[in-house]
Amino acid sequence: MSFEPVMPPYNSSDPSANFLSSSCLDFLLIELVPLAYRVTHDRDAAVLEPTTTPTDVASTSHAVSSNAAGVVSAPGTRKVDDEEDLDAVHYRLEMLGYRVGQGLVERFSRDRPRFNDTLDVIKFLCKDLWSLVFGKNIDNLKTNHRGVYVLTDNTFRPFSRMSTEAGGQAIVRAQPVTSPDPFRAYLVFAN
Amino acid sequence: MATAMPSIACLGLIGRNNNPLHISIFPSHDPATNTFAPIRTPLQFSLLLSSAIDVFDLRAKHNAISGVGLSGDFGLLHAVDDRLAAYGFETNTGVRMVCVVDMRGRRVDSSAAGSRGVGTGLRDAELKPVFRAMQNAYVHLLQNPFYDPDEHAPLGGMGGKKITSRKFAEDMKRIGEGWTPGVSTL
Repeated sequence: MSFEPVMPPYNSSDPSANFLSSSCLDFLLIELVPLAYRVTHDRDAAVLEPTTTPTDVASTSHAVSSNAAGVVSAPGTRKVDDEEDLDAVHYRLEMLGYRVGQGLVERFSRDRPRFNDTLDVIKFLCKDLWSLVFGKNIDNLKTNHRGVYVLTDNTFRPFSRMSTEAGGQAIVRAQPVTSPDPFRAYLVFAN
Repeated sequence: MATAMPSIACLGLIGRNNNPLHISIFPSHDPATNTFAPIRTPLQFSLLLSSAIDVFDLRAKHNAISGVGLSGDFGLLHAVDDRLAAYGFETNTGVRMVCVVDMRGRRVDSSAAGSRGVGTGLRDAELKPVFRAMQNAYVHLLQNPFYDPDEHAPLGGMGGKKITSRKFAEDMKRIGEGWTPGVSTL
């Protein structure tokens, strides 16, 4: 997601480096949330109605996908508990990001010195990984020295194309993001 | 007269939960019969890899106390006998790689042996390209979206599946067969 020319050793002469249009990535990010809704719902529907004929499934998924904004109440499907539904969607998105992160860390921690403690890991996250993925360093790092780290990024790149309601107090409503790692990382996104 | 050179006898990848992810075994040259056969059984190699885990743990503790060990390269883990020696490497994500070298696994004609003395032992640096290539192969494996690392090292700390990727196995085969002392890229 870095938009600047990449620094060596990750430039175009690196045979294992792949490049991709930043617009494509923006489109993907935009589509990711509706996609997570659709997939979660289609899977729920498939589990709930295993006897449904294929044509029914197709029509259901079509009805759901036409409802791309995400509030899903397609006729014919069971009325799912809204909160549970939202949790499932969040979980799906989180797991997508988690998997991407695992790949990135394996790739970019390759030539780094060893991490001896959690602080080394957080430093790698703030300095190396953040600038590789988001094109800038993290703005602020706070810790209570008991394993909780708060990372603040004031201009988070993926949010730059997103609109928010004026005076929506996005910072106040920002949710802490917990990672499934043994130590907990709280990421606060403020835009 | 034919003499022998070191070759790789076994490449092992060990997951975060001390679970075997991948084991490749390579045949060594047997001068008595002039044939190629692995010098240990798969079970014996598996036990060798298991014993290497203890050395990894010991070294990691020792390194943490003395403040050294800035790289993942553990060098020689243990010399099993006069032929076999195990070398180790650990990535930052806790995946460990073990390379068991057979000091007399490859046959060379005395003319080809040339300047390199036989039986002089190996320097740790000579295994670097092996671990680098293994790590590259693992990074490529992780770029496959259908490979789920959590299946292979669940967060609970127990068990995990083996790697079934054919491409990864081919990479290991290429590394194991391609390495000789002095090779700089694999």
